[in-house]
Amino acid sequence: MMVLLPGLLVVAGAESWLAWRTAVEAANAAYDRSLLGAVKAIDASISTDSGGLAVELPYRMLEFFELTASGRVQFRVSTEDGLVEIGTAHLPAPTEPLVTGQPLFVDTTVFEEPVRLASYARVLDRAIAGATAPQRVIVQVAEPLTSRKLFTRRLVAQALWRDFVLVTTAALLLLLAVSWALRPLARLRDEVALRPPLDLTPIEPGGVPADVLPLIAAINRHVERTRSLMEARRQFIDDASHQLRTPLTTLTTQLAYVLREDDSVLQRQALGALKLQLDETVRQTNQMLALARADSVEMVRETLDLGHLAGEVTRSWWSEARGHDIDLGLDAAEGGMHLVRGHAGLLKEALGNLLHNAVRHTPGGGHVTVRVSSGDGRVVLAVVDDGPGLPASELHRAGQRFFRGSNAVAPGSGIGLAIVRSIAERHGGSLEVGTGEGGVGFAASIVLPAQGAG
Amino acid sequence: MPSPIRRATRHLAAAGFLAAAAAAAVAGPLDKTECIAPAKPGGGFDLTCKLAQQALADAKAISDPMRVTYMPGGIGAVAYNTIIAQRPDAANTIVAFSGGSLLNIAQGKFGRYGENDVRWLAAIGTDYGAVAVAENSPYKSLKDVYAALKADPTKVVFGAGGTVGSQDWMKAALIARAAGVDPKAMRFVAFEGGGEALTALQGGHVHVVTGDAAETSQQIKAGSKVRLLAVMAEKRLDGDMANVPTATEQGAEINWPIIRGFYVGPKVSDADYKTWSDTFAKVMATPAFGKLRGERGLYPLALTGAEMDSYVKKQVAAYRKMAQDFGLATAPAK
Repeated sequence: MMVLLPGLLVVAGAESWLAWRTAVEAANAAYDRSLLGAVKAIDASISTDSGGLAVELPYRMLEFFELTASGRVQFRVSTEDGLVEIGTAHLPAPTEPLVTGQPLFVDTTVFEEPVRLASYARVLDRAIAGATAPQRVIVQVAEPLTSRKLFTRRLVAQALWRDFVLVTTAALLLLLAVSWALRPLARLRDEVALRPPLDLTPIEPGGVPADVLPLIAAINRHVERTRSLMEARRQFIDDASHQLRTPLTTLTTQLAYVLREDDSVLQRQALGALKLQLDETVRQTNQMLALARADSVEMVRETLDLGHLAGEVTRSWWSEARGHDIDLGLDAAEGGMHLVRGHAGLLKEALGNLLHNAVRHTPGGGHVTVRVSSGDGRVVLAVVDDGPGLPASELHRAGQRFFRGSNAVAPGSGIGLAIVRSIAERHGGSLEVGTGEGGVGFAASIVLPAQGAG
Repeated sequence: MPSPIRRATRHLAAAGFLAAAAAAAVAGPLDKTECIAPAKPGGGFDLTCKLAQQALADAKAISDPMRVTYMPGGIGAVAYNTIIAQRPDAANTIVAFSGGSLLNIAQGKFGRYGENDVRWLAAIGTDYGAVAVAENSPYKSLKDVYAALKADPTKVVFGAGGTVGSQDWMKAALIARAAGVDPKAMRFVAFEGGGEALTALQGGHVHVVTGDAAETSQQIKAGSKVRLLAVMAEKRLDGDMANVPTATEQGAEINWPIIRGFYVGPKVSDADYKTWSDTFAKVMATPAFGKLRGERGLYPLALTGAEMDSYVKKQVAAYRKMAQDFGLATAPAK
């Protein structure tokens, strides 16, 4: 409305000016015609029969002119050289040379009264007043401008009034239309305002104008994402608290046993077991925190060479692997061929989790291989072992939070793979699991989009 | 405001003149005088100015000859406007005017100025309206004209040196009205001047010409084959017109005096105005002046000062009413 109203006013102003100009021209056209009639009538009553210039002007005709002009009409008939002159002598001479038979209309003043002056010249039928050849006679008629001005003013006033009515009506209609169209939005606003804070159900788009539907849909999607996020959090808190309850209970029991035991050797043994359990609980807690962090940490990406990263992490796990009597191998080119954009810390943690799983679940004498490969716009970081693996029917559940395979013998929280999955998905990739080489063992692969392909 | 010294000089000059009957050289308004004739040379205004020029010179009221200048336009309208706007205090300049000028003032044809915008100085004579027909015209008296008009107004064509609303048209309108015919139905042909109208009269293009007695009688003397039917005066005129009956004698009272006189600018001082006024009064009282006036075909009318002023104002008011009666546009007194 702020743009529309001034715009309308400007347009109305321009139209009014045009209306005034048109009115002036219309008035002039109309009144000039009648003025020309007067000129022609006077011209018709010019006679040179007596040897001089004579004008027989019926009084009624003059009356008629004065009626239409609503004011005094003055006329002058003279020879072109001005020597013979009848009528009002002080009408201004024509400003430009007269073309015979073509009337000239000008606005001028006679004794300071504004008039419209028509001048007209034609050739006399004979020579008079001592001239050697017939010369032209000039007929001039002047009428006051009052009638025209009144006429013009009235036309313009009408146009202005019309414009005013038009603009006001248009503005009113616009106001009505806009407010009527926006009423569903007002209803929506009230509806949303009245919602309880945790109500995340989609907004009902019924009745709103079609232009607003995409907005409603976007809001609903956003709300849905928030809702599922909150749902996931809630689920996580539920799971986490449930998971921690058990080890903490175990710790309490073990501690109670220690306090009950008098024998110091047995006490030491019991404390040792308690320490193991505590370590495991600490590790579990750390993992859950890591998972929460993986879900929420700010993703600052940089260009990484996954091969180099894999080499780094693998080398740091060698001693651990040897301690478990596991042959840890690396199959990755480190020449910068496996570039991705990602968070180095998160990816190292993911790989660390996979290695932890592999080392823990593979019995002594087994083999674990870290492999990085690229192709089809993807880079794959895989950890393959020849341990017991997962039963085929449970493969699809790998990566679910707190899932532990039914054939798991080593302690674990079931969160490791969930962390890896979360990290992979935050990088726009995925976690794929399957059996190792030859259908034996377990293979976990982080698949990420190669740099430039995601 | 003239300085006190000039004022004193003027008073001395005026006193000196009045004291001495014979004219002596005087300074002031009567020095290097000018008479403006608001028309082309040779017309009635020229005649008026030349009469003053000669009379004042003969009476030795002025020492150097009076200049006559011409300022044609609108029977005095242009000169009127010029004097008021540009030379309102020119004490050495008098401007000729006539009854026709007063008629135009009444009709507002002098622009935005009215009868109160100048100082009316003096009337030195008058003419009277006259009705002329061709020598061989069937009309032998004004009564014949009335009868013909009543019978068929379209058959009697009037002619004159003026258009609708001018003096000559008024005279014709008064005749038509006397005949019981609406002046608006009257046929009237406008010519450039009285001379052309009389020429047309002789040629039979018009039947009756309403003009001025002086001008017409001069044309008759010069050989025009026209006859005067009537003069529009209260009583018969002396001289050549003695055997022309008045309009009143022929059935309807129509008087049309055409005053000829002078005015000065509105800001001319009272002292200078009085000087002029007294000068004219003195000169017009002499028999020599009467002779000069008669030679020019004017009839006696001598007014100056306040008497002149009130005559003019009354005449303008009378013209105004007449114009209104005839349905012509008028301008109110300003």
